[in-house]
Parts: sequence; C-alpha cells; structure tokens
Amino acid sequence: MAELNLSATSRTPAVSLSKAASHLKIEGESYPEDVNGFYMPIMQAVDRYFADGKESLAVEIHLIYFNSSSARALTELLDSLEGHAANGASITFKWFCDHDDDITREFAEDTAMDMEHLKIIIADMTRDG
Amino acid sequence: MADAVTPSWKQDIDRLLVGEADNASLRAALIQLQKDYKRQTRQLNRLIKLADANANKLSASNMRLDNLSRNLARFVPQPVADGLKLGSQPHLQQVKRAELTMFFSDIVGFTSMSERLEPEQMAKLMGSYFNEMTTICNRWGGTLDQFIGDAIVIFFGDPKSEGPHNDAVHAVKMALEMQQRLVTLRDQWAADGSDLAIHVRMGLSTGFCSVGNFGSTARLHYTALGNVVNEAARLQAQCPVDSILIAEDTYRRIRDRVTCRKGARITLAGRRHPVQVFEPIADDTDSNHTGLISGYDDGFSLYLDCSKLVNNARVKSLLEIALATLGDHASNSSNPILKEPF
Repeated sequence: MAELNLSATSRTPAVSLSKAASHLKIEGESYPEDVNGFYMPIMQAVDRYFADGKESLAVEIHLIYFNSSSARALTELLDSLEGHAANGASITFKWFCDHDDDITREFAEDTAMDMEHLKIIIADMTRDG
Repeated sequence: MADAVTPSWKQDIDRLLVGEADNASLRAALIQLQKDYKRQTRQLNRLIKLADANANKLSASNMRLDNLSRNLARFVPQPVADGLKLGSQPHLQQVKRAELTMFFSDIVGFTSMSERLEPEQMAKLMGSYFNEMTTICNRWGGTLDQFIGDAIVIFFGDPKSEGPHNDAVHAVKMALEMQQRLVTLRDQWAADGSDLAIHVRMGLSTGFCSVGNFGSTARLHYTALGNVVNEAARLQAQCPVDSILIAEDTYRRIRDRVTCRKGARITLAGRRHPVQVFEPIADDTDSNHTGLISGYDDGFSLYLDCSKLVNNARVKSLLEIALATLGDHASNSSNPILKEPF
C-alpha cells in the first residue's frame, strides 16, 4: 500500500500520502526521538507509490520547526524525489515557511538551488496551514 | 537510509569493478562522482548551518526565559517561580507541614504619616524602606512572603532550611539588623531634611505551619498558615516602638546565640492565657567576632567597641568603678539580661 496516514504528535508532524489524490503532505513540528524510525516508512511509501506506476505527485511541506536530524531525513526524501523526477515523474513540491522564519526559508532556498529536476516552490505559510 | 534510486555512476563503478567499464564510462563515472561529492558537501554545510541557527535560536530563547525567570522571582517567592518553570500542577499546589519562624513588622503611625506626605513622597520613602529591609532579609536567607501595606511578612524554614534552631537564629538576627539599619536610615533621612522618621515594631514566633502554594487552580499564593503566623502578628502589635518581641518557642532556639531580655507575660488578642515574651537585644556572635559589646536595661547602657578604644586603662577603670558601685544591686535586678537557659 502506498497510502500513509500519520497523526501529529508533540514531536512529529502529521503525514498523509494519498494515492487517489496524488498528494503528500507533511505538517507540524519535527524533532522525533527516532528520526530513521519516523522518516523511513515515509520514504518507503513514496518509493512504493512510484513503483505502483504513479507518475505524478504534489508534495506540500508545512513544518513550523524541524531539527537537524529531521533536516537530514528531509534531504534524503528530496534526493529520492529528485531521482524520481530525473526518471520522468511529474512532481510539484511546495515548501511553506512561516513569514518570520528565516532559518527554514534559507534552508529551503539553498536546497531548491541544488535540485536539477525537482522544482521547489517556496511560499508563505498561512495561519490555517 | 536506503538509496531510493541507484545512480548511474554507481552502476558504472560496479561495471568497472568487474572489469566491464571502458575509459569513457570511467571518466563519466568520476565526473558524476565529483558532482555528487560537491552536492553532498553542500548538503552537509546546509545542515551545519541549520544546526547552528537552531542552536542560536535556542540560546536566545533560553536567555529570554532566564530574564523572565529573574523578573518573575521579583514578584513572586522563589518556590512559586521554580514551580512555574517546572510547570506541573501537583508541584505548584504542593503544601507541606514545616517548622517555621515567622516575622511580622509594622510601621508605627503609618496612617498619619501617609496623610502628611504626597503620594510620590510616600512611594519614594516606602520604596527605600522596603528595599533596605528586603536586602537584609535576603542576606539572612528569609523567604519574603508579602508586603501588606506598610507591613512586612517574612518566614524562615522553607523552602530553604538550615534546621529549626538556625532558622530561628537567622530570623532574630535579621530583625536585629533591621532595627540597627533603621537607626542609621533615620539619621540619613534627617540629614536629608526630612522631618519624618520610620519607627517599626517587630514580632517573631516559631512553630509548625502549613506552607506552600495556597489558593485556587486559577490563582495561587505561596505562603504559610497556622497559629504561629497569628502569634507573630499579635506579638508585633504589642511590641514597644523600635523593638522586637519574640515568643517563648523562638527564644528557646536562640537563647545561646542572642542576648535577650525577659519581658512580661502578656495576653495576646484571641488568646485565653498570657504568654511569656522576650526581647532580643544583642547578637552574641557579633560580640565574639568583632569585639563589640552592646546592651542596655533600665538604668544601664553599655556600648563597647574594642576596635575603637584609644585609652584602655581609662575604660577599664570606669568599668571597675561601675562594678563596684553596682555591688549587691546586680543580683536584685527585677529585669535581668538572660544568658542562662530559660
């Protein structure tokens, strides 16, 4: 199954991957005690999603705060998506940042510049996410 | 984490390792490898930058919390500030039984004083008075419970305690220092041209109380409740001006370290039986350590500061004459200075 639904906790974001809607959303705060244990199932679900023959995916990131370990995991997720995009998948990636969160915005901008096939759109996060 | 997609250069290197790659594909693999290495380095730098930024953000937040905590402790007792930092409801609403020495002070004639002063003058005078008294309280390790108008309520024994005896001694020595400081302050105020002088009554009592954060879930106040609290307040009310009255339980704990004069048996408001009170007059420890001896009684006053003596023979002669003159009268004193166990 390429579907995934994880509820938010005080340390981890809500995650939803819908095959029907071709949509992946990560929303909340991210500083899990076990980063690999949290992000590995997400990456595996994304790989299965494309392995199942899906060719497009809309990704949205709404992270208010993420620690360095989460950033490392997100980087690996982005590398994976970059690989799928290089192989022809149509992926739109929107990274929503708080208006006054310069740290996240700068990280997202630097990451976006490093992508060859995956286009990252950086947008302001609204109050209702 | 596992690689989602195997890069082409890795496939080339795999072919190279089994002897299937030619020079062109080897060159392409090395170029790609170099490109990926640079990309990984950029990723690493981004992560380091993010980690530093998060650490700086955390440090700034901690600094704000420290400032908040320091300011908070100026408005509420330290245990309440600590409880707020921990944030747990059970900790905040903790109440326990503890032996405390309670201190009450009140300014004599405060109402008439406040009628004579402009609000700004009153605020300045009281600010100076409270500041001086709080400094002394903190030096002796007292817990400043509250200011009630012109009254000051302090207790010793919670949250910090050095044992009931030391707590009582510190409380009484604090009161003595406050009265001594007020003598100096009155001189200063007079020198500044003020015709107002603050004179204070003080009362202390020792015993078991309930101490902790009392109130509702919506509003808490860290304080002490119990009979001892009332007794200290009532002793203060009956205390002579510029003096200190202590209860018998307090006296028992300090008698070896503070010189006291036995007072009368007085009936406190709300009490059926009269209680014995004592008046602390000198810190014995100070005398031993600094060569300062002070004491007074009806018809007697002594102030001896050995560090300032210039004519020891003259002083000795005066003391011998005084002792000789005193003669048998000393043993007949109706109001002795008590040094012996009660």
